Amino acid sequence: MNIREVIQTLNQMQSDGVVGRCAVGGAVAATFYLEPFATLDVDIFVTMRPEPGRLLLSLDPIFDYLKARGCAIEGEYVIIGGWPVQFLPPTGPLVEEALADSVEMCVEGSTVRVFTAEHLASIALQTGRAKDKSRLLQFVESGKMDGDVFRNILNRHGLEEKWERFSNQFLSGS
Amino acid sequence: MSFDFQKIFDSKAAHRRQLADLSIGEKLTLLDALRERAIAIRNATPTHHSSVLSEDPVPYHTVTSGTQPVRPLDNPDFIGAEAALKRASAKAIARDLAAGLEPIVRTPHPSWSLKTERPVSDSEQSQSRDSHTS
Repeated sequence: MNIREVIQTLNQMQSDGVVGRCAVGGAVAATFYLEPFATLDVDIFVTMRPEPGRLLLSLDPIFDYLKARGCAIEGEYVIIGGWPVQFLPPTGPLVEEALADSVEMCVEGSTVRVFTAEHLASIALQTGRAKDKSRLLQFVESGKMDGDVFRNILNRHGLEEKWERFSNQFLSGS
Repeated sequence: MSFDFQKIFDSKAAHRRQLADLSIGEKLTLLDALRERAIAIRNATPTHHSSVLSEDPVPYHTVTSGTQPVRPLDNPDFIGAEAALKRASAKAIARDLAAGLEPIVRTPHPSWSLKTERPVSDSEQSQSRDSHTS
C-alpha cells in the first residue's frame, strides 16, 4: 500500500494528457495541513473535457487509461497502489474554485496539486456531515488558515449563515 | 493515571500539533499505515454475531398455499395488468361482502380485454363492409 503511487500516476496522467488540472481533495488533502486521518479512499478532483459529440462528461478515458496500465476497477473506484481512488468532476462553484486555486505541494521530489486549507474548510462547512464539522474544527484550531481568505470564500459562496451557526455551536465560549 | 482533564486535553492537542508538523512524506507514510490498520480492524470484525439482535426475514406464505412459498413469477395470474385487475376486483368483492353488501358483478364485455390486438387496416375494414353489404 503506497499513496505515493497515486501521486506518480496522477502526474503521469497529466503529462499524457488524459486529464486536465487535477487536485487532491478530502481527507488526504487535509492531511497535508493537519495530522493524518484514517481514510479509506483518495478523492481526486479533475477538470473534465466532454468528448466530441457528447454533452455528458465521462470518466471512461481515465478508466480506460488506468485499466490499460493494470489498475483494477472496483465500482466507481480505481485501485492505485492499493488505494481506492475516486476521480470526481467539480460538483459546484466552490469545488470548481478550489480546483482552480489548488496549490502545488512537493512530496519527495514529485509535485501534486492539493486544495488549499481555506477551500477544504469551506467545503467541509458546505458539506456539513459530522466528520466534516470535526475536520473544520481541526482546521480552525490548527491555525493553518488565513482568516481573510476563508471569510472571502464564505462570502463568495453564500456560506456566512452556515458559518455563523457553526461558530455559535462549536466556537462560542472557547 | 491523572484525571486532570485540562492536562489530558493539552497533551492531546500537543500530540496532534506534533503530528501535523511532520513532513508530508512522513504523514503519507502514516496515512498508508492508518489505512492498513482500518482494513485489518474491519476484516477482523465479524459481520454477524449470534448475540446481536437481528431480524431474519421469513418466507412469505399465502393462507391457501400452506407452507409453500409464493413465487409470483411462476404464476401467470400474478403477472400483467389483467392479473392486477382480477386481484383488484376480487379484493373489492371481498370488501363489499365483508361490509354486508352485495357486490354488483358485471360480466366483462369482450372489448374490455387489455390484450393488444392487431390494428385493423383500412383495406380490411372496407372488405368487411363489402362482405356485409353483399
